[in-house]
Amino acid sequence: MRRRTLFFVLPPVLFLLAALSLVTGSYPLKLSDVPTILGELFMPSDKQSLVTRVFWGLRFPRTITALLSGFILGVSGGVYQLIFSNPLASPDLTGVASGASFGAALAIVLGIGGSFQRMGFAFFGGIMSLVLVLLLVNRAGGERTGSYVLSGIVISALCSAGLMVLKTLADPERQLSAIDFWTMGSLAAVSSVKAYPLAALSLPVIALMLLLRRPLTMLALGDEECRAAGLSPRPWRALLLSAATLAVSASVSVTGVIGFVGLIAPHITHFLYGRRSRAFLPLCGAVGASILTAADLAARSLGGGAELPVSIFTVAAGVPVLVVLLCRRRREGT
Amino acid sequence: MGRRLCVEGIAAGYGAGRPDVLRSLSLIADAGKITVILGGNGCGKTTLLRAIQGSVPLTAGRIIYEDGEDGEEGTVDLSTLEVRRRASLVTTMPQEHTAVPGLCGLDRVETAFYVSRGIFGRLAASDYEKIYSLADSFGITELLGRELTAMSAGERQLISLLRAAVQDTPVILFDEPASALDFNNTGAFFSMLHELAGKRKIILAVLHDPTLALRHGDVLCLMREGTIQRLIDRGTTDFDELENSLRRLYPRLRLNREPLFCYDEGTYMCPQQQEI
Repeated sequence: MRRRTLFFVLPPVLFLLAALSLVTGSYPLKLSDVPTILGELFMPSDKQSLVTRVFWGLRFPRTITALLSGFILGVSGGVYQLIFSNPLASPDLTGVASGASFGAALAIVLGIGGSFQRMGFAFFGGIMSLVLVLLLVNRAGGERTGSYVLSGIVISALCSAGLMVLKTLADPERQLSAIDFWTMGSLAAVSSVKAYPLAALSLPVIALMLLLRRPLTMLALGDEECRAAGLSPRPWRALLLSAATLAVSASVSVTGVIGFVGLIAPHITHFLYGRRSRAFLPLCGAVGASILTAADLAARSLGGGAELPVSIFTVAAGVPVLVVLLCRRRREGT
Repeated sequence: MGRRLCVEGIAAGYGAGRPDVLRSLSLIADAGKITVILGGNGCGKTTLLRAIQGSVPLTAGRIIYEDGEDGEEGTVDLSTLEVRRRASLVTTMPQEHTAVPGLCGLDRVETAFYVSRGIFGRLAASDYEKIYSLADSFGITELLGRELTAMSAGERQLISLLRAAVQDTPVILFDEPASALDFNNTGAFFSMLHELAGKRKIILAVLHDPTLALRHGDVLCLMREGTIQRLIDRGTTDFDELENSLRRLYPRLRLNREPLFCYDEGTYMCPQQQEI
């Protein structure tokens, strides 16, 4: 019965959070603005009223990005756990976050362009870390998941060192705080030029991960079992890892580093839903989307006008949840 | 010519720079018989099974599957087959497997149909019937709905066995299949093995316990330092020869003429006193 309730509870929660996210912010939107907002959708932007421009230019992309990034982190978290057959695996495992942070910091320190260019650098940094991890694993002839973890640690450390160098080079007045803010994650700077490329890139990748449920399950059962059942584990693990990392890089490059969602969403889903069946990964995504949208709401409304880093809320909410789940699991003896 | 698996002078190892684990190893396993591999730790038993399954590449030799069932002689060199095609002929019940919380027994058993259904194909009702009827005959239907991480090692072995049986390949490799099974399940496991052999399967099992091997094996392969030193056909080998061969591998072993412990008509006879 617990399983069924999730299907009924989660969609209204997501809908409510999304609606709240659309109307909350420094410029207040009212329900009576809805006709104006919809009516002026296809007008040239210089003729639109301020309400419409705020909604379609800022609020809507921001909400979409919160939902999408949360969904990406949740699904990828579930995928990482399966392909590494480890409930502690998360998108940070292969150094995506550190790679993207390095890329973003590089753009900031070099003073290249605006936030759109920063996004490009961060995305490139995340993908580079994946490529380096795959190269390392290949070089080590790694048949085992352990070599992925080890390579991830190596690349992650390398990127962290690079980030430290950049921080010492950065101008302490503006650049240093920009780097710090980026590594704590925020959806404040999201606009339509960032949200729509993210959606265009990540939706097919998410669809791919959801479709490949059978190979994912087989990878989780171990390489020997995988081959005995006819699936070659190495190319599939590399493919699914690349898909998950691509989506996470795209998301991180828009939002900055958001802690814990990728780890906690699959755990909450497993606790609420139990089985890792067909619905598991979409549910992970929905849980991730709820967490991130709620955290973003808190980040923009609790700061008294100022935007707070969103990781504060995801981590602050995630730690107690994880602790409770761990204690409960132990009591259940599983 | 019947159905058999011929391993012809293979060598295999774990990558360049490291010495081969298997060296000019040959053996023939016939359908309908239980072929048991015996050997000390680290002699390459698991590697041999991996080489036959294809997870360790061969550096020499070949592995031939012969099947003359339908009147025509069909021979396949297994190493030329890609992974999925190979798994339609050979499957392994591996020694180790992993799981994450949330994956149930059924999730593991369902993977047996990857060979026939591929990545996207849905399992047919008949596929599930096959799973449930076999699970029922093993008496482990209850395990299908249980999480793998909540199972004991023995229960996981039973689920793994079920997956291999459902996959229904002509060659089935077992890597220490009974290492964690209790008394009842060990008995059930080996009667299952005899049943599979009765269906013209080629059964190759790595065992650590010579008493189990002697009780259930039709052919014993004694393995040492990466090669098969002796192949003993129980049907044509007399008592002294058997004991002498086994004592080369297990110096402290002594065979009893009278079975200490025998399996008869589904019941086990245990001696009251154990001789030491």
